[in-house]
Amino acid sequence: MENMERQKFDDAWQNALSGAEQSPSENVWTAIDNKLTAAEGGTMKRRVIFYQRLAAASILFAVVLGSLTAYYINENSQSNNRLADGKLNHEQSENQFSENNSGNNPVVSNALTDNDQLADDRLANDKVVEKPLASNQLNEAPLVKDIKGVRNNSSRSNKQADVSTQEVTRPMNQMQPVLLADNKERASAETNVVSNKVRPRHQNFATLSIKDLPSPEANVSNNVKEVTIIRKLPAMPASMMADSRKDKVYNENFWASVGASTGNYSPQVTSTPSALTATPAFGNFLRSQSTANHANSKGTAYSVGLHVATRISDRWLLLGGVNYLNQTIGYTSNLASISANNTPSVYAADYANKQSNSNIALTSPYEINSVNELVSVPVQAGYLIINRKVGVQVNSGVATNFFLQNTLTDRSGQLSEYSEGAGDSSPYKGLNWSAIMGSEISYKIGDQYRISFVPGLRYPLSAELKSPSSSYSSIVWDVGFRFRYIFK
Amino acid sequence: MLSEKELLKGCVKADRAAQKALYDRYCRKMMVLCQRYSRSSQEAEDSLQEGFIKVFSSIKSFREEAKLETWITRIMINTALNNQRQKLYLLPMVDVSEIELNQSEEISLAAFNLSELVAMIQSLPDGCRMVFNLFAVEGYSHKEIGELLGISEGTSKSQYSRAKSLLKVKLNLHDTVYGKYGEAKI
Repeated sequence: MENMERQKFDDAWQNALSGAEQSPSENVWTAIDNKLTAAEGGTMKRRVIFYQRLAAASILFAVVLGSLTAYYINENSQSNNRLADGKLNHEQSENQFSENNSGNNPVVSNALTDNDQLADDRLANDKVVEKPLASNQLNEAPLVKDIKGVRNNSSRSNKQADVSTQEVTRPMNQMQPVLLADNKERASAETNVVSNKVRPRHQNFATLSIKDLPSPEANVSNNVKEVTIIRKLPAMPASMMADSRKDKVYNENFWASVGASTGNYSPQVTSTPSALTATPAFGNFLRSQSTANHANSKGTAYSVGLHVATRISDRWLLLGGVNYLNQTIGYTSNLASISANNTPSVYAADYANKQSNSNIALTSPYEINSVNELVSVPVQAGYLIINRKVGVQVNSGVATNFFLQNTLTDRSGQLSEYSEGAGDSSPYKGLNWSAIMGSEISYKIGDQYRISFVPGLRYPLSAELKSPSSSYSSIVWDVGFRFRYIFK
Repeated sequence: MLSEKELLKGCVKADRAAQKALYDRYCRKMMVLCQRYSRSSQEAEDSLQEGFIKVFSSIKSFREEAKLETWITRIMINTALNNQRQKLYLLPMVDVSEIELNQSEEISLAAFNLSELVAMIQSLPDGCRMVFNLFAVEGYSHKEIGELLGISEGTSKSQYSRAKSLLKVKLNLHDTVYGKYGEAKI
């Protein structure tokens, strides 16, 4: 039934309408073109926002990392100073303590002088509390065990020293017979309980003789004191101790690097509203017609360059180099230049004040690709936050930019390309300056190479256009990589 | 003249010249299609514009399994239907009494020019116009139309019958002025 219906009535309509064509109005394509341009602008804007966020995040990361590292390094040096002071105090107090107790309580004296270097350092933070010990506690193990526990916490690995420690940490009531037995044959000889090789500086202990040791009865003396050592752990993890890493600091004094970076380019256009009667009136009119699009546009930028850097102090660097910059932007223009031979070419409001033999005409909007090419010579000061296998530095300085040329291209290909170099007739200044800042996070590869990640910002210090009624300059956020060769 | 592959390649790269060439190649056919689904030429141009923007924005997804023209036509139909959907929602289609046409009756539209035929279709009520275009011209079945427009198969059939009867009235009216179905058009 359905097919029957198709065969009769519908086929007639299908035949009548198949292949039928009717031209739409011109406005349809214009509207499509404008919407596509706007959509591409949105895409570019999203890309620009991505680059901005990436660069900002990179800089923030570098700053946070640098700050944390600087904080730890600072804390570490302060801690070392404290340790050094504490060590000195400890040695002084140790000597004093040994002198005070050598006659009466060698156990305590021995315990304190038995620490190796690391234990000495750590003991700088220890609190030594002395309190009288009851006589019935003197022969009990806990007194010595406490001291032994302190020793066991030390990182000493010398077995000889361990043996000595065990001997020294015996309770006095056990140690005395041992010492007496050992000295039966050498009753008059002095006995070193601890090897001089292990602890040569503790002369008071090394020269301790059997006759200096108190008899078990003497231990009952009320002069014996219990020593409680309360350990305070260092605030910094051992892995951050500078002493253990001093050998990893790199002394790189001069290097050269090649690099490339890419990012987004945001022209800053500020036009002075001008009356049509201003001179040249038409130029101002043209600018008023088309710079709005230009100002809202964002583009992409890339650069390649050669850089050199030298270290002028432990942390400070001086950097220089030369870069080729390419800054591309897409925007809509409604101007065209008609040359003497009637060839229409691309025209933008940037050229509005330019003296030209061409006739300028307003046209339907079309999309322009505008490419600025420059050579930039940066001079920067750098500060090395981290100078190890991973290096972090922040750089800041000024770049002198030499304008090469601006090229305008109609994306649809309908209008001729137009280029304008530097010079008296050019609307662009031949020379301008930018402030540059950024960070460089590097990683050492081999003896003489580093590869680095370089997020940065280039901020204009002067306008790029000569026109006094409009200020045109560009901010560039970029991220790049550099390959560094270190001269030895 | 660019080949279809070259056009596609250019459009995928968002090359404006290729997009313009693609538009120039298909815009006239698609304009007629949009006119058939619309009430007016202005509405048709709106659909055409929207449809081509969809074509350019989604051309990367075109897999070349179908002909490019078929793919573009499908996008245009969907766009036109979407633009009419609000009207269909406000004035939902209901079953109408089926008007039996003489199945053996032969018709010829050769004497009508395109704008007259399009004007006849545009004069149909929205629901009838959609169903008639989908069934008679595009070749969809009533079941497919029902799924596409969210109506029952029966509603689609009755809307189609109503469209046919209305068109017949228009053709007859034309016949009384210019002769049978325009064959004797002066």
